[in-house]
Amino acid sequence: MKKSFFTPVRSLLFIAALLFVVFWSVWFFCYRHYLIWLEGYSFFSTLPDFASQYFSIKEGLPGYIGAFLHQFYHLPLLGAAIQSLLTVIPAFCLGIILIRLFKNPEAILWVSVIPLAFITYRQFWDFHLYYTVTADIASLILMVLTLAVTAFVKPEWKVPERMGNIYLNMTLTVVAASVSVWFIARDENGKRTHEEYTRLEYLGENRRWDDILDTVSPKDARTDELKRAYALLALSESGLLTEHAFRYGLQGESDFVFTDKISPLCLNYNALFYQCNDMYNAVIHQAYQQGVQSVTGVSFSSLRRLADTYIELKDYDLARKYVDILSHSSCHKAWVKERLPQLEAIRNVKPEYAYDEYKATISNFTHVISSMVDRNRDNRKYADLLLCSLLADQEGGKFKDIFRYVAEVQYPAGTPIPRLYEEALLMISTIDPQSVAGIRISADTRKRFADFAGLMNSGKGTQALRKHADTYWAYSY
Amino acid sequence: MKRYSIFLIACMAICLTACTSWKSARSAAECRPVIFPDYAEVTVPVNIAPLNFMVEDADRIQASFRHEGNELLKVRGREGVVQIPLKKWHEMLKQAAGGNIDVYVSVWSDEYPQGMTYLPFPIHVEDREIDPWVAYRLIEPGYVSWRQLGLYQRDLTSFRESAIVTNHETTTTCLNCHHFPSYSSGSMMFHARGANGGTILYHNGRLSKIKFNEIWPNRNTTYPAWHPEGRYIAFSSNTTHQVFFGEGRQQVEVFDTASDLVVYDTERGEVLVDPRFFTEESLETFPAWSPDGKYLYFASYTAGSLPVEFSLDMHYDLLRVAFDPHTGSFGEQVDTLYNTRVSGGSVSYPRVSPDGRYLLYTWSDYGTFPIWHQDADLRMMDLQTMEDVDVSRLNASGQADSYHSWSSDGRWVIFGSRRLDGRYTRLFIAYIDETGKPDKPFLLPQEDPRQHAWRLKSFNVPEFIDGEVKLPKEAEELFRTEE
Repeated sequence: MKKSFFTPVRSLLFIAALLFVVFWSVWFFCYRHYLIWLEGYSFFSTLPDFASQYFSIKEGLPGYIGAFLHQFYHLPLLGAAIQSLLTVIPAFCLGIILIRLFKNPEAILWVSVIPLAFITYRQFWDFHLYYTVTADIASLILMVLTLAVTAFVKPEWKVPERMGNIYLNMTLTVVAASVSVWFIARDENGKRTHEEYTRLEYLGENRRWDDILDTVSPKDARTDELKRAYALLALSESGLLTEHAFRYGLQGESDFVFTDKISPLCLNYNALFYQCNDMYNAVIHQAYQQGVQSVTGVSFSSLRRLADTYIELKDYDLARKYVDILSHSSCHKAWVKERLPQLEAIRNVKPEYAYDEYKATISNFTHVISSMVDRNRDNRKYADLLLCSLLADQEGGKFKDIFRYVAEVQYPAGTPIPRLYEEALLMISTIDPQSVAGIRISADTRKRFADFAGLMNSGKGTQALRKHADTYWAYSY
Repeated sequence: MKRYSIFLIACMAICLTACTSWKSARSAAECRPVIFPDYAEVTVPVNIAPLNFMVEDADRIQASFRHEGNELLKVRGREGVVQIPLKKWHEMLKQAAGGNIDVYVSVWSDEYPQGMTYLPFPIHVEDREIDPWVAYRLIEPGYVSWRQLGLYQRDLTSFRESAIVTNHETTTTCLNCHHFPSYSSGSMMFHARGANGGTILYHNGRLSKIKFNEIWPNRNTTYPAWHPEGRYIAFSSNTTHQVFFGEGRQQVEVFDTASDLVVYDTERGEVLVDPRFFTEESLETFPAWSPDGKYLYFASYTAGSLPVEFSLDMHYDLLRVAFDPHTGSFGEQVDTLYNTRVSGGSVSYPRVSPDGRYLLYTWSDYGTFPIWHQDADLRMMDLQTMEDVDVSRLNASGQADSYHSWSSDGRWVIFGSRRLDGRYTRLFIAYIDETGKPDKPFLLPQEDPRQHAWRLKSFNVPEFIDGEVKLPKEAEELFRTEE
């Protein structure tokens, strides 16, 4: 009788390889930014404190291995491969165990696919790979024990013939595999949303503001605060805040930064926001806060940001500390090499901390951004952030005063002013006509405002709001 | 085959010898090496752990330790790091006790490929031991939230560090204000803040948790001072806030809007309150007993108006009041030892030397949390003459020098300083002679000197203790919560 090509071992390898490809595809194509984020959220170091700390917490060895593996997730291709491999290992081990224990293992090989579902069920939220690696270690130990024992005593167990039907086995294998793939691919507990958030984080870190605005629709921004925050930051960085802030759902100063959320995603966003606005103390504070959310109290993304911030501040001692610590990980050689000349350049330079005598607390966004406007009267970005947040908070009086303060520098006579400001000033002028004195408001805005006011006064409020949606007037009504 | 083996062994022996043999540097510098930590001209106790050090940018390094011209020890190192064998170091210190060790350093680097020898630097070995252990908290500096923190202890005669208690099982819990009565490692207290928190007391072999907020709703205890006779613990009860500044070198400010003094009687489980130290207008904090237990020292700020709000005008005076341990009551008279209206600044952490002669405190421009103030320095007062004693040698210009403790014999102080990088507090030890004159402080030695930079946590509240604390495992159960 001709021997089948598909021996049990070959069948197992084939199933494992096939599953690996399927899992890899799901991870890579559905969650690639999440994989990159996992690297930033984790931390690994060969320094003595790190190992001793890991072994004193419940994550222990599996967490330590997980932290080591997460370093490679900055390449999602590799991250997806590691995630898939970690998933397939228990199935492979169980397959080997079955092959060693049964005389006709091909009839029961489908059982080896079952553990996959238990792993993939919680793998997405296994931030430290604790459960995944624990399952891998346990299955590897079981396999080694089985191999050791069966080297001496080979059991003669046999699966009943009626279970040996190839179609039945194939069907059961496909069903078990499908369930495990479904567990990863399904959008449960906001997995897809998490991927979307991490994509925004990735785009933000790479300053791809146009891509953020392409990704986040105004409708999304109005319903999701993190998406709204990223969209507003993208608008601010693109100089479009005064054009589209209300279109993207700006409702108040709290839309620019999160003051009461301690999720790593929100804290990382905050750090990025302050970094984009050169507010370094706030960057440092948010980066520390973000690091603390990780299991060992520190993360790659927070350390990288701290290092770059201290380089920017020309604080050699602290910059060097963080660069040095990062050099003791496996995947930061190029990153460190890039920063060594920058470090050398600030070696004997006095740190640059601005405004030593002035203290605005970062818990109050208006307070801190006001102080930035006060110090940087010509900075359009700071002024727009403050003025838009005042408009969103319906603080017309303060808006008018601060606008006049910055307008002298930013909008000298004859310079067109942004549409939102024109709309706000016109509206304020209905109560305080002096608010537009000496300010050039375009004829188009005046015409639109007359139209809006006419509709409102004639009781056609809904029509007015629909026709002039995306204006400050619509927002304030 | 045998011939090849001999050849191979010979090659390996040559390689090893080449790698480790003592070499002579070709050049000699007319200066001392720049070493980290700076151990040149420091005074160390005879039982201190090896003062391992490094020379930056060096590859090979050699250090020869000589006492009265005799070479007692030679150490070679790589990457510019000198790691001295523990046993040989202690033998050397015993031999040199009461005298100096001169350290001759040679380095080989890209700059000096043929080697450079430097002038020696001396280390004075005081013929006096320091308390063998120090306890401290390790925490990331400057957070609203935290993750892993704990109270740790370090054997000062070696590099052994171990956890006394951590929050690893209950990461939402904050542990702080650890304290020991009269340097005893057999008793301790600390606060566990969180859902199932309280003040954990380990005393006379018994573990207990005191829930002060059940004794007084909405009030808690903060800075402790255990009476030398063991029965009472004075506490300040502070309402503390912190703010983070968007700009400037000082990133954090911590302040109180209320603080009072109370005394806890460990025998009766009662809290004793003196109404004079329990008012809204006066904020009393940082209690500290005199070694005979007859006086309580503390800092106090009187607010101009209520409610108390943060301002740069928060100046804390240093006060003292008599205490009768038999009745558990305070005396009538309250003395002002440091009047900020006259002398300016603000006083924190008064600590009296074990002989009762000196009072060491932290001085800063304003406020009550000096570790975030770059102007914070240690100052000392002679309690016999009430004159200032110059301890400026302990301080680093422009960096915070703060929390300090006396050794049990009063000849050493340990304190926290941010002088290395401005952010992470590290521990320094200094010798103080009978006249109160301090020697140059030295950084708490680490097995690898680079560990000072690598560690991502600050050392907090160093306290000398007479041995290793062995807190029962059940202590963590007392504040454990489900997460």
